[in-house]
Amino acid sequence: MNSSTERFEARLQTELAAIADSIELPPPDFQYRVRQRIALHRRRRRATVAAAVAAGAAVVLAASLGLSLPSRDSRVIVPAADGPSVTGPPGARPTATAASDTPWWAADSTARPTGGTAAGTSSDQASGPAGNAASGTATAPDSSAALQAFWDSKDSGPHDEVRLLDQEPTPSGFLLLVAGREPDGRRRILLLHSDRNAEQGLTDQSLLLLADWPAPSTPTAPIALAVGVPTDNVALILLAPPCGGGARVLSLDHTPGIAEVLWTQSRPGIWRTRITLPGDNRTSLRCDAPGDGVDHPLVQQSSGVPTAIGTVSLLTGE
Amino acid sequence: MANGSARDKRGTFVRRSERETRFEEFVLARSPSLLRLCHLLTNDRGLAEDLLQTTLANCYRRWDQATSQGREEAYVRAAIVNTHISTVRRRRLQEILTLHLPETGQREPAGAVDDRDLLRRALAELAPRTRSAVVLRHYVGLTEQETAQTLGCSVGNIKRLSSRGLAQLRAAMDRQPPAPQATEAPRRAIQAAAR
Repeated sequence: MNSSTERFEARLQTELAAIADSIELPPPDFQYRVRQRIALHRRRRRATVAAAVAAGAAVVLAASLGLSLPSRDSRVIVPAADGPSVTGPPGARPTATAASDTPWWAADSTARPTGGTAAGTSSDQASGPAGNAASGTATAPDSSAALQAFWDSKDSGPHDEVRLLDQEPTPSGFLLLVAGREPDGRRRILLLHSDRNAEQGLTDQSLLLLADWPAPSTPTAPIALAVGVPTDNVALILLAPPCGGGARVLSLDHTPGIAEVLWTQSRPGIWRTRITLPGDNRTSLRCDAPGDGVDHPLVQQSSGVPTAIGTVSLLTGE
Repeated sequence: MANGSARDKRGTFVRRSERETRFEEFVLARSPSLLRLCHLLTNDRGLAEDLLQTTLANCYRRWDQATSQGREEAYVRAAIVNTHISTVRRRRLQEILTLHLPETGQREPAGAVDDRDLLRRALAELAPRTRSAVVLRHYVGLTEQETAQTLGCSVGNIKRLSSRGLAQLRAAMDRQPPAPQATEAPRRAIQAAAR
């Protein structure tokens, strides 16, 4: 190392020391600032750990849900137009495939009569053109997805076997009767209002929930909507399962065959009639087919729901 | 501070509150010299304080490790240098933008203050590792071995960094500022134009 380098190093050390000496001392609260910085680091570290734990828990939860629940696409959706239900993966819901527990409106309709028009004791085979009353199901778009999306958003969890049972025109739109099963396995029936019907394409934004009732516990029980009309009469919209060629006998106050009833196929597997009763009568329905013959009294489930066409109550068979 | 215990450098268990007390004593005693080191590295008072606070906060988490080696100051010094280098690398663009400080006028003869300003600016132009090597060797007074240990590199690398740094500083400090007669040029041009 030559002398000029040594001189420069000595000069550099002197200058650096002079610069260092000219630097002010730390402020009096420097220690407090360090303590604050330590606290800040600790908070950030905890927040990072908490976020990582939350993200991990979310991933684990999502993975476990994805493994334990069937995907939305594989859930049971019964298209309104096609009728037959598509069951989910075996084992996902053991009760879903049990035919004895499946109500008629959620089951696959193997008997597809081409129409229905008969008085009082009509048989399914003697029925007329299909879909002439209120449905037009042959060309109806699939409304089940919109109904299911609406129901899922209103209630907790995904719903299965969502099916539009019937729709009734009103001055302001349509009343929709929808059946389905909740995540806990209970079956429910919804009364909805929409400004469009299933044929026009339902969207979950167009739907309004009016009532939510428990479905009848008896799988073969009919369902009826009793609509109060201004003339002190009751319009009864009765939905019934296929009768297997037998006669459906509608009784009023235990008097069978009270009226000439025109049965039409509302949806595949669902038969519909609308009669006007003089008052709040006790009504029951029986299917006079071999192996059936059970009389199902129609019992009002709840107080009425005011709608554009009157007060609507649900009657379910026992 | 959290309750609990940690091992002392002699292997005895000490309470966390005692550890905290030792840390605060260290900060109180050594922060002036450490702040000067930070200032020489960053060339800015605010950045120096920020660098020291960040480093001390990081070191507090591993204070047991630092005290177990019995070289708290060396530990913190190494942490300061490494934090500074990584910070500069993250903010390389800002660092480059502030490298060339504006000229401050002509040099006064034998102006010691200007020499320091020149040295400050020359230091600012050095690369972070080179600057750290120069400051550690010629301000802190570490040996090449200690500097290599602090920077986590070989002694040969320290020699190269120091040599390069000294050469750049020498060139910058020996560079003569514009001579006073240089300002005559525009005047002569004006006079020539007037003729």
